Amino acid sequence: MALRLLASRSAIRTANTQRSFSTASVLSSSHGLNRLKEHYHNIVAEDLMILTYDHSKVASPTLKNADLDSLLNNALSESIQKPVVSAPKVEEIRKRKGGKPLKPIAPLKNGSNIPVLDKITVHAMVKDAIHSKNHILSAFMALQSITATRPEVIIAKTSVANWKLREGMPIGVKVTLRGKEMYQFLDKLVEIVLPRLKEWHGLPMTSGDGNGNIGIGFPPSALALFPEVEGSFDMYPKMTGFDVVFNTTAHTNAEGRLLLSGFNVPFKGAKAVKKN
Amino acid sequence: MSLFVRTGRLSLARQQILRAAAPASAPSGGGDQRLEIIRRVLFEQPAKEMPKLEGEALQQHETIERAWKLHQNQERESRNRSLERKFRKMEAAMNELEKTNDRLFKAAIVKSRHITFPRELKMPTETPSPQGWNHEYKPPVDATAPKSS
Repeated sequence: MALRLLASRSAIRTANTQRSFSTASVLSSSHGLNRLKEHYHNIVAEDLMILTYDHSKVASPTLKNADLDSLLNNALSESIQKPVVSAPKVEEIRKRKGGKPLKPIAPLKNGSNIPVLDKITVHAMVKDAIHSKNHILSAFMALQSITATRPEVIIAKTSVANWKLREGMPIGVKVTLRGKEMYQFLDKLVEIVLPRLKEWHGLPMTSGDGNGNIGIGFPPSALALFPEVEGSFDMYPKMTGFDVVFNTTAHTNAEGRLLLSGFNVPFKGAKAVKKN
Repeated sequence: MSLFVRTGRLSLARQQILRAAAPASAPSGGGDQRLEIIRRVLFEQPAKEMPKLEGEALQQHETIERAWKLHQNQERESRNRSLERKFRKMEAAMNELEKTNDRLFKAAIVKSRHITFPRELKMPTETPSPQGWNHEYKPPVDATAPKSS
């Protein structure tokens, strides 16, 4: 109904007020409002900064992160300053045999490196695609509906004879979400999908990959809980399970969990704040 | 609540699928039919043509885009400045405490490692809840919670 109204309005408009963006869909219009992002900036970020404050790991103020008061204080203070030690580069102090990737060292803290959600990766591997390529379509369509982003098809990089997998075979679909789409997907997850999961009380307090990123896997039944798939549930021949990885700029698991809990992602067995 | 359930219309996915579905063909193998529809929806729908802007309209559009980006930049900068100021005040307070009281300083250094935001934290919504405020709220007793220390 609303779409038809918009169409008739634009026909009446004169030529020199044409717009170069599409108003075809109210749901995807960019009105600059982003509930979760605003929540992060208004409420979570400051609390996160206070909760993750570590007095032994404070970066000295620089011109880049200018708080002029503290810069001046540092410059004018009479006591001899200890030499500025910034977090060393990983390559200088750690080595791993075979040139394997090194674990990053957490930088010293200041007001601008508070943990923030960087991206969300939604990924589904479709095992049935081994014998028939068509099975990928269902997962592709499902992920596109859920995330409002065009997925990319994942091609196998190596062949595994045991699973009849050959290199170059399309075997999965993946979506990398950033910015507005990411927050919208997280909103859906937290408000609609996670509360409806059966017998699931929250992520474990041991979750995390060691670098502040947290992943969660969903069974195929979870796909039906998304509002986009719920309506046309029978149009998907095969429901696939999928996993969701939250990539954050946190450097420890505890910080990553703290960040996600700020977005209402439930954690099982989380310590409640002690009441006196 | 969120934007997605605001409209009472059919979901976009369903609309697209119904549009692409063959009008009056007998179903020939349910799975094949659905795959055909999905294939058509994904790959054969022509991309919407965006109308081209020229002259004054283009300038207006670009000005608005630049103004919005400028606004966002300014917001981001002011946020960062505010956070940095608060951080430095915290650092100054800790330094003062270190000089003032040793016992309190040691207590202030200790921090809980595995805390999370409370589950009851409400992310602000555009409109109030249709159920109003729940005065009879009781925190759920988590059956799977570990032994409290």
